[in-house]
Amino acid sequence: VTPALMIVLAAAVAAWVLAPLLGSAGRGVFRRGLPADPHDARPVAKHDWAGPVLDGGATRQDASGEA
Amino acid sequence: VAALGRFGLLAALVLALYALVASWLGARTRRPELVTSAARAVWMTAALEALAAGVLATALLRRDYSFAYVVRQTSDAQATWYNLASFWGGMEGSLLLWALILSGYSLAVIRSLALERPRLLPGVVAVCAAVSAFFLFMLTRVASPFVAVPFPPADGRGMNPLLLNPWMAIHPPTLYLGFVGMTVPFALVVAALADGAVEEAGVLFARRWMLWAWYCLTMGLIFGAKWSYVVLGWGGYWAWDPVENAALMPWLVATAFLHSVMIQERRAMLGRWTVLLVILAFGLSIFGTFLTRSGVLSSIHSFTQSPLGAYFLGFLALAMLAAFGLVAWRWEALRTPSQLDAVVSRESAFLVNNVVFLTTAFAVFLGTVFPVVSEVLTGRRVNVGPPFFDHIISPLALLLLLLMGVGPLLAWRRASLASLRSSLHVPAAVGVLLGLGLLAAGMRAPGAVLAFALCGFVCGTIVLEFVRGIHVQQAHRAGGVAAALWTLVAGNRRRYGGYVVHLGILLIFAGITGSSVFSTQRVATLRPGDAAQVGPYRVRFDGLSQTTRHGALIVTAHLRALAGAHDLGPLDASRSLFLRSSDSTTDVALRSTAANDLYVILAGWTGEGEATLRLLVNPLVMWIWAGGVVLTAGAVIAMLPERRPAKLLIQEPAPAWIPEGP
Repeated sequence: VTPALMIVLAAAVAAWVLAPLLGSAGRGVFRRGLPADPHDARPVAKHDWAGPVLDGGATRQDASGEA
Repeated sequence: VAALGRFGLLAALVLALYALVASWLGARTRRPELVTSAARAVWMTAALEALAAGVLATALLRRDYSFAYVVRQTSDAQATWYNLASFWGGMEGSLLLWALILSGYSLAVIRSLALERPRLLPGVVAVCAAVSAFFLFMLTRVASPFVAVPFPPADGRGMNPLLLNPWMAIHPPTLYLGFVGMTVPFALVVAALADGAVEEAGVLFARRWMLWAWYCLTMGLIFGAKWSYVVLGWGGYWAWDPVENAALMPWLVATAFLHSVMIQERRAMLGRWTVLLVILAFGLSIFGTFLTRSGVLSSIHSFTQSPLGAYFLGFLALAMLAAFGLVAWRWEALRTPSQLDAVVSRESAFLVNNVVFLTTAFAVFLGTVFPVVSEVLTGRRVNVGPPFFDHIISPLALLLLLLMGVGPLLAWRRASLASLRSSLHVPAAVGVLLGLGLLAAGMRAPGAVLAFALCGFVCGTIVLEFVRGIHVQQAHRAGGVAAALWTLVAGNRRRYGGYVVHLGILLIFAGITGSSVFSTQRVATLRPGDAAQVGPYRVRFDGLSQTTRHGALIVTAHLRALAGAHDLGPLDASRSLFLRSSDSTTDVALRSTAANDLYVILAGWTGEGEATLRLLVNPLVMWIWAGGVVLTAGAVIAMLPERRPAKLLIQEPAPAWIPEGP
């Protein structure tokens, strides 16, 4: 049983992994392609450490007298 | 069935190599279908590793002695739970667990990158696949868990008896989660460097992965300390063993990173520095594995020694060469624009903190490799013992503690000395009063008084931060203290989670200080009915008994602990002699309170029924374990995703690029 199982498994794995390369059906798995412009995928979010930024880089906590 | 396991690992190796090549080609030729195919290969690598792991776990649980690994790790007498834990009790199984965890991380990071940072995907897939391929190569060519035994024996040899402990069952997987977790930030940084999106892309995204890896590594270290404390029976929890040091070094570097990344995020500084820290943390995690596996240093972990060391060293050299080469290539692009505005500022506190962490890591590294270096240079192996580490590390740890207290009181950019002075009043008063109180109570160890006073100071700072935050919340909206605290923490989880983590570290620090400076011990040989005094406790020896269990002869000394007129109840200290392997383990008698631990080891006995006992009173050890719990709470708070949507720096979000997973 084991050799047959291994052959079937290998074939199934190879088919699934290589599917994207096999013609247009494979390309359909993308919602969008790789971004063409190197600048269009810059970080989208900046998580701040000490609360919302007010003016000049001070934070709400800063404004309240805290560090 | 072993063939199925071997097939799984071999096919996984082929797929990992394919993923490496396909993602690299996909990025170079900008063909997304190649990268999707590579991501699918990573999925399948994980599935095939899981298949191999399933085969091995089943063999261990069924005690299938046709596997050499099962013969070495299990026996008929060994409890089923430990048969499963023996999966990572030996070299081959622990490598398979490593590969499996890495695949889990790879899938998670692929999933999250496809949504948030698609440009980094090919690079991350390539790095994860390369590291996977290395481990799978080891598993298929050098240390296969599926080697068959031509003539299966009737019974196995069983695990090293020292590993038969619940803490040991949980310590390695937790530590591996931390060690392997360092691969993800490394992959992100390498991908960002390779891609050229170096400004913030890789490093800031790497922060949350590093935080998780850091947390797992911390808990792995604490679980290991607990195992050492209750099983090794030497009275302590940390011995500066080379393998303990090997886990401590990446922990120190990761801690430095978690602080420096805040400066990069807030002030766009230290770009190169943070990238180097991520690479160093990964390198040290592999170096730690090399130390554990190679046998170049004698260690309590010598049960995993093998000729694998050379492979790990080669892989480490290659990975570091590639990563540092990329850093050199992108050196100019990594330059961050901001400069330090003032000497007295939070940035400079973080900077000093980073220097101290790195100095500590370097001191630990030096002490750990010194025996090898001295042997190479002089032909004589000179071992560096705990006194070296204690003398070097203690002042650095005190300095870090001071910074932990001062840092939060300093403003970003520039702090005025006047505002610092006014902020320092309360915490400094707490620290000074605590120090004076301890001196008045008769504590005469200056180092310990200073350490506890600093703990009081830092605790004062943290409480002050919470109180100020609550006041600000209450000024903005009416409500009770609990509601204000909730809003405060929920609105800024990273900051206040960080403070709770600091509280956990404080508890651990106080526990280490108390137990290392004020531990008392004595050795006594007692006849039944005799008693010995140690610290505030009197321990009465009531006699010996002997039983056999799971192939071990267990000799138990029955004891009774008394504090003045109070009977604290019975205690048992025993020693197990494993008949087959002639190993022995110690089960200490332990009575823990918040103030101290009464810890009794059965050191020996005579035919006449006398027992030689080593009795210790270790103050504040429970604070170390409590610190782990508090630290967990803080880490959970800090790791929970922020509720409010993150602000957008650019108007157009990156296009989602989602390779379909199964």
